[in-house]
Amino acid sequence: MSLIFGRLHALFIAIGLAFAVCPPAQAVELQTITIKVGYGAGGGFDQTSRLIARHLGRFLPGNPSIVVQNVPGGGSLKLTKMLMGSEPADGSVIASISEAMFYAPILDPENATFDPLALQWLGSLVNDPAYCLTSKQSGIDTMEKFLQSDFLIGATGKNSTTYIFAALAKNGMKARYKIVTGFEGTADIELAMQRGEIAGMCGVSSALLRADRAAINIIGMFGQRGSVPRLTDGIVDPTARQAADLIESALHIHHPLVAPPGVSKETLGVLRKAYSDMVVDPDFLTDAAKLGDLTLNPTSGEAISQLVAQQLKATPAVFAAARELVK
Amino acid sequence: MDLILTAIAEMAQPFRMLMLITGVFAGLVVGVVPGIGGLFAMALLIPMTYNMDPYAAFALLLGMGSVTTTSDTIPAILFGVPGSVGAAATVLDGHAMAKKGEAARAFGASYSASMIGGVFGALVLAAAIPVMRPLVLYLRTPDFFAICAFGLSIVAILAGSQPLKGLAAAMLGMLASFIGIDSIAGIERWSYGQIYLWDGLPISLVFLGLFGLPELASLLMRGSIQGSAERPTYAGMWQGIRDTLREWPLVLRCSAIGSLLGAVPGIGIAVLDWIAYGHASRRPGSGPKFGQGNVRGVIAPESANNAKEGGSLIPTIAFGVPGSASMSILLGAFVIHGLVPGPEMLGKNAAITVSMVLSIAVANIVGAVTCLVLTRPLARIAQVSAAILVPMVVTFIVVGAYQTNMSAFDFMLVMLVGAVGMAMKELNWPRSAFSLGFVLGPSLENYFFLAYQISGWAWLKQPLVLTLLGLAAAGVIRQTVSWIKARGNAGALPPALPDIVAGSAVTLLGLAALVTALLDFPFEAAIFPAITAGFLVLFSLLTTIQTVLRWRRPAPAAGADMMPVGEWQPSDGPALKGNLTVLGLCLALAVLVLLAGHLAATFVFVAGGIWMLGSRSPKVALAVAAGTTLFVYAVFDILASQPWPTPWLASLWRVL
Repeated sequence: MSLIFGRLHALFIAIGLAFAVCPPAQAVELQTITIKVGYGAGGGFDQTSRLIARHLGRFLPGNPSIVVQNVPGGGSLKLTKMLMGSEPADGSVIASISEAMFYAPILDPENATFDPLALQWLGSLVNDPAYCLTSKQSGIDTMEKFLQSDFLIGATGKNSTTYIFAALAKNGMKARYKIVTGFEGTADIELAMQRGEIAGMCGVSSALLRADRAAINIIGMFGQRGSVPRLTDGIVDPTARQAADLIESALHIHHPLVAPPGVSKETLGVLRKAYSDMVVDPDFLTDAAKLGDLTLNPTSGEAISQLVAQQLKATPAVFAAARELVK
Repeated sequence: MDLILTAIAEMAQPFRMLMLITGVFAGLVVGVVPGIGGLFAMALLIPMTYNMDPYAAFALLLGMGSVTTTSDTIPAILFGVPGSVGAAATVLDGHAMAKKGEAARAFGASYSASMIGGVFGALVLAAAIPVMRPLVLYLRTPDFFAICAFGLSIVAILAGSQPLKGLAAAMLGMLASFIGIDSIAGIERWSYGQIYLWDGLPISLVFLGLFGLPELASLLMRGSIQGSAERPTYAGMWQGIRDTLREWPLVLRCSAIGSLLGAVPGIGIAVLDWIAYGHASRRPGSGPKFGQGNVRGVIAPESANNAKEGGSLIPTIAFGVPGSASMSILLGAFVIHGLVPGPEMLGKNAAITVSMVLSIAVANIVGAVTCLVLTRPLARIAQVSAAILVPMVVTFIVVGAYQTNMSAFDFMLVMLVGAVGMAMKELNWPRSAFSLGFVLGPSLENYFFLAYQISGWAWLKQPLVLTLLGLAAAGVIRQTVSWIKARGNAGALPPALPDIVAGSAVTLLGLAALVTALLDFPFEAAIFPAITAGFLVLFSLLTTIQTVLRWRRPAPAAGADMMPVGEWQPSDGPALKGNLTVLGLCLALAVLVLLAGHLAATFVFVAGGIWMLGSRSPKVALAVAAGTTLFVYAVFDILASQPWPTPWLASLWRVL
């Protein structure tokens, strides 16, 4: 043992020497771009990011290689906050975060302490309504029954779309159902519906409807009107209507990519152009088609920035109403 | 029968077999290296399967996923460092066997048990195909809670010679698992605004610190893994294989535990290896006590954690509900290849389902045979000088920890948990109980609230819930009775004074947790932490009082028969010095990695560490350092390619 301690200080001298001679290891070069994903490996955001990583490089000058890194935490709030502060703003890091991040500072001012207008959007892949659905065996098959009966709606976490849209319909239309939180994912909620433990779920995309059409009732939709009634049409109070519209607007910009606030106009322009070129590329579309439950309907970065700026112009009363709606 | 023949014919195509073998070798490497789990590797492999047909894709993915639990025993047995969270239980007896010069026997037993377990799991999956959907639908949310509660009751068996400490350790583990944003009220619990802690303490880091670092101090003291100079031979390995065959009823029971519980979401390999270990420890058989190198303690967890892969595919295939974390990633592959989990997988696409069964079975056989062939060179590592091994193993633990979040917090956490683990090891607080509490805490809380929200208290009357909770209670009562009977002859005990300090510290920690939970958290978020903290205070206070009494009233002089029992294995020699050296090494490497990046740091640290710890030849030090650096590069930059943060020195360079 004494040998060990005898050589300890010698080691530290050696370390010092080593630093003097060792070259700086692996500086992040712009020939590599990292897409950071605000969710864990395997989920929808991770899959679309890895899809984009395979293609985006072809449309950028110098054809950089693109790697994906998962930075899960707080439904991508962690990554969004990192983007605001510590990430390099030279275009070498872009991020895949939840579209709901643009109103996170409004719904959750305590945790989401950042300026949503500072996010620089590159584009989004999906523009798709969300639905409320119930199982056939629940007997809840009309909007009227949905609003008037006592039953259970399943959701994952409090910050998830499954909770936010269930709460939006419940609070906006004074519905009587209860929201059960804590499911692991939408597949778990569906399974609980099949077991008859709960009646339905909200905030689900059209892809889920295709899976098991025979066993479910589609009650209504969010984001637009279509074959079924829009669930927020029954909200009468104009402030609450506007608040609901704010929450629903995120549906138009699902699976977005953003760049940190400091990225220069030129770099942003290059990235946005590459994104727009990529989403119409046949090879990209063939690959995207393999992600079965993804209906591609891209929005450009410029359009997202406009939409976000427009929505965030609302009055504080609207923001307060939005907080009440998703409580 | 036609179905099976079709599947065999499909799988026999050269490219698909090649993918299966590729997957197996990737999985073996991933399993050996602590820090990268099968989870991460699977996410990396999925995009590579885009252009494959589904048979080849699942052969690759399942080949990889099936064998990580075969090779993760290699570092567990040799160094006491679990290669993945599923090998923690193997550490206790497997590493003890290696110390006694039985590394080859432990390898033989573990690989053969893994192989049988894995094939058994595949058969369970095959047998479940026709009844899968009703089977999964039969289990309701409250049943999942009861299964987790039953799992937690295993703590009573693992609690060892000082049961109060075991119970306190389990509560401490549960308490640690509640750190982060809770899933019911969505508020922060004990994370105090630290984004790093929002998702809780990363489980891989906790297991690395808890089981990996404390063993290194003992290794440093002993000079090499195995004390005697006996050369390992294939004879030891064959003995291990014979052990497994002789214990076939245990292997089958533990395989059943693994495959059935593997199908339950929330019960992962980190839980079921302890359940299997606890089950086996009830009947230790002939040979040494459990924790001191009993081969049954290796066979049980190894057969269980390999059997899990087949089991966890059941809910995945039948309903798209992942039976484990890696299955949720595998689901991504289903979508890419146009497969919809559910009835189609049992009808139209049944051949693919059967091919998955075959992939798991073949992968387990190929993986185990590969490991068996490598046994002799691996077992020789047991005789290599600790001066060479310790810096290498520290490198894999620290670099592996860092790649979890690439944050300096990763270093701090792994060292902090390591320090806690060292104290627990020296003072006989069972780390097994801690880890079981840590893994089951969130599932228990979540399933409880789901059950409560769905049906109030009515679920307590469901028959399966009653049966499972009854079994859990019976197990705990039986164990308590045996403790009361055995009172007074607990064998050797750790030194009283440090134990009193530790006990009081834990009591105070529990009190602080109790008060903050009650004051700061809303009711739903407070109830589980508060109850856990309450029990922690109770158990740790009682054990502290016990120790104080023992200290004041000196026991008769310890005789030769006062051997430490069970999991407790204090280091021989100056434990504090050894532990501090290991932590110092970790700190040095952490600073190096932050300054110079993981590759330069690895080279400097391994070369410097070997030289400092007393190896005579600088050539050896440089050669080992170069080899380790190359291996780190191959694993963490090529196999698991990922962006590493810019080291401080490099960013300084840029600014200048």
